Amino acid sequence: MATKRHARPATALARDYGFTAVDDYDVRTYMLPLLRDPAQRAEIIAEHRAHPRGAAAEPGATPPNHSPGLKRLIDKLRMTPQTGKHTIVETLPWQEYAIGILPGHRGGVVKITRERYRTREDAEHAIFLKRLYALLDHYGVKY
Amino acid sequence: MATSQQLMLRVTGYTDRCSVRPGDEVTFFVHSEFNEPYQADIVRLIHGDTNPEGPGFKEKLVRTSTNRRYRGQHQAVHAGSYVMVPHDPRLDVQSFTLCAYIYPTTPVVDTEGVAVGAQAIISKWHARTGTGYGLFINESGELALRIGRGRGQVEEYSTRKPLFRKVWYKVAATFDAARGEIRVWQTPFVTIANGGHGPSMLHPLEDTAGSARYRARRAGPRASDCPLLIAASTAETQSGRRLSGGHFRHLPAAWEIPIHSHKYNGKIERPKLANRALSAAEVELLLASAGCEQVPGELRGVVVGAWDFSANIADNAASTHIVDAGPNALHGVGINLPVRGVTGFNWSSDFMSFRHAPHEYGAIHFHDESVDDARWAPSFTFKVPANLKSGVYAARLRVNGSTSAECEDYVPFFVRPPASGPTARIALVMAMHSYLAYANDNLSVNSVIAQLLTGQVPLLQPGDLLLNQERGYGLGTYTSYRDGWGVNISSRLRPILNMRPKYVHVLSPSLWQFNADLHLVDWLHEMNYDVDILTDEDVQREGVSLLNQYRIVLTGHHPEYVSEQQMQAYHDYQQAGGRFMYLAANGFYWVCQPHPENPNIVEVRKGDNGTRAWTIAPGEYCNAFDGKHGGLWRVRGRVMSKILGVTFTSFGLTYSSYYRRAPDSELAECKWMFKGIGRDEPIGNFGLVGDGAAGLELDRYDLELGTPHRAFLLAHSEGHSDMFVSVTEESTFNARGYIPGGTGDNNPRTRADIVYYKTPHDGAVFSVGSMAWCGSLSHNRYDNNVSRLMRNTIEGFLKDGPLP
Repeated sequence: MATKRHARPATALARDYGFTAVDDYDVRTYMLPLLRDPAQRAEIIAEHRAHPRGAAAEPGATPPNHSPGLKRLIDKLRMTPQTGKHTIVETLPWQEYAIGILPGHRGGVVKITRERYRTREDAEHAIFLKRLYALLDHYGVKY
Repeated sequence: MATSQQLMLRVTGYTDRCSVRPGDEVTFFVHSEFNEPYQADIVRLIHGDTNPEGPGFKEKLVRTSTNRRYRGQHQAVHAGSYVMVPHDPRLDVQSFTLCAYIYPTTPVVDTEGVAVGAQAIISKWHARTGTGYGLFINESGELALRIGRGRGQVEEYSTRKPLFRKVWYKVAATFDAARGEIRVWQTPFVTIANGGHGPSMLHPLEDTAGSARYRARRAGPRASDCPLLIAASTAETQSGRRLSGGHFRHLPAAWEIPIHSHKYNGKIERPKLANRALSAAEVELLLASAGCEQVPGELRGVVVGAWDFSANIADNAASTHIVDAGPNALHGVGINLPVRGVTGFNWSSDFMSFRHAPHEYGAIHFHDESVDDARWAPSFTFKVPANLKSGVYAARLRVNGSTSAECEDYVPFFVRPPASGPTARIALVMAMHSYLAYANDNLSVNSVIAQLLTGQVPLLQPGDLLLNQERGYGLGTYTSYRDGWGVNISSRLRPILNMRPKYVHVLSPSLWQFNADLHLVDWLHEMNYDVDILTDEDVQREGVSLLNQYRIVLTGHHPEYVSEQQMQAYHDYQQAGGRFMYLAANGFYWVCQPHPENPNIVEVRKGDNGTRAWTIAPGEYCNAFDGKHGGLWRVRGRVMSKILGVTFTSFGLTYSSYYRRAPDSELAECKWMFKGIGRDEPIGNFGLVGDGAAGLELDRYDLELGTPHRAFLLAHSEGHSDMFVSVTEESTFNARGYIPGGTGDNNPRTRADIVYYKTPHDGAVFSVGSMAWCGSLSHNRYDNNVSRLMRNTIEGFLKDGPLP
């Protein structure tokens, strides 16, 4: 409830430091070792490329669960805050999909970028890569 | 490059009625974003899924004089709940006192961090001309008194202390026009329970308690003919929109409402207006009474209005009538259905229902995004021809006749058989109450967790872009208002942009609700079955006598929200020998109560239990609309498995799986349903909802939860991915892996069961336990084992006499 006249208490608690600190620990402990390794990183990206939105179970086959590494990574990326988050906008049904950027609040305008994809899966994977590279940039991982 | 505005839906609308008979007239209310003309055509909807891998979109034009070009008109929705007391000269005071208890929920910003701006608590304030008076929360979150004598002569006097979110305050302001004296104060009123999840330890109190005195001009506010509003102020006195009928039927005339502004989020209780500047002690006396019952005679004489929100909620709190318990009887009306039956400043937590202690539920919670009725001007009508077949219909609207997605909308309605009686032996009940519950969720834009639940990035279609611009047109029960409170009331009298053919839903890899139900409508059409289309509203009103006219009653894929009257009707139908086919999962789950005076509006209160989008505040579990406990039917001893044989067990809003036959399917009582289906044949490893017949939400049998003791397990699904999670109402202790808190790969309860059992008088129940089932019916040109099992069952059920 900070305003020009009334400042929020300047405490770590008030800015939700606890959540941020543990989230940071988790990324460094469980995700970065995998992501820093070019071969494992490439494997994770290829796995996502194969089934960006999941797949149906087939009789006689192992159900299509993501690998533990991709699962952990993708759940983290999906929790990206809504403001400025990438989304998919249908520009021509079943033919063309654009990348959009969310305003983060109701009543705002969704920005439509120039990026276009022929399938929803292609757009999904493109967004996955954008989020992944943003995470790597944040932690200073070269790719 | 296309802009958001170019891709946004440009035309939409709603109807005055949901379910109509031949001879009835439907009125359409249409909004044209850029005032463009549009072509309207009445069509029968057969199949709404545009997926190129399926049979494709199917509609049939109905020849009618309604079909023509219309002039388009931009029609705004004035969202935000408030109370209006019509203008009365006695409200145009010179000296005065304003006081109330308040519980602000967005004193400065909303839960998304967006500044809310000034909010009015009680005002006779005309914003455009700057005239009148009002008690406000200013942009800095302070209690403030405004006095207006015309443009350039607006004065504001605040406490200079911020109000905290989710804290009860006693607030007051006084103005002595003869002396030019102003006092304004806010005093926290906090007990260990009364603020719900708000804090009870306010230390140091001075951070938020405050009072101030000011000297002002010795002249009263300028009078105007605007109404007195509670939780808003007046932007324009006349909107051209009037209140009548339905939940306003008690009004003596069709009251015109203003265009309102300075919309408040939070609770207000005991708002009062006196026509002189009272002392602090006199304010205490005034606020000590819900109305005026313990106000001494001398003080009573200066009371202009004393609105008692607890006065008429003893039986139910659905009424829009707001009682002025003061000497002038300046009664008001609640607009956009502010939430009643909520805990007040004096809630002790000794009572959990307003029915048991209305005096502790004297608050009203206002939200600036609520909509009870868009109140648009009528655009055109359609008289249902005498010979029109029962079915799902819509007005197809096309801006300038264009078929592009942003220029086209469908406004659905349902045609039931004529009053003379059924035209078929099969009835399909369209889940209108569930469509309302899921209305305008806006989750694609607002929900962080939606991507975790669905395992994908949401797809925004033209309607989603319009919906976000319009702040959800009143939203639905899967989202929260901007103050963090769940949306518990949903109305059909506004566009519902996710109840449309061609719509791809955020909670599914493809379809959900209305558009997914068209998979079943299409299959019945292709199989040449005569079917009467009914709605929840019809079953609610007419009960089992309506259902008993049919040999078979079908559900769509997700009838999750039903009322007590509907639950009773389905139970009685099964007892009377009806044959019921539940082609769904997670049905009959939430208590959902229509407004007693307006069937177009429903209420849902999601309590401590259940797989849910939000949790209602402490002590507010009971529906305003009928006074009974809301939440899960399971909590009220009516778990779905008692009348469906299966209960909600797991969900994964992602790709689907298939079924395996179970040994019971080979018993003499059951094998007729599997004619033409091999013993080891997987069932439904295909389909338009996640590529499988077992998916989205799943139900299982459970003898401990009322599955009938002679029920048969015909088939079960397997192989659901680890995106499928357990329902929360069955988690007591979460534990890693296996059953509690388990997922598709380690919880054997993650499965859809097909269950069949007989009921008295040759009745039966057939349940598939999956929301994806109907999406598989059209596979391979309708020649597949899901379609075959359905057809065998329906053919068997249509035969008279005992079942095998």
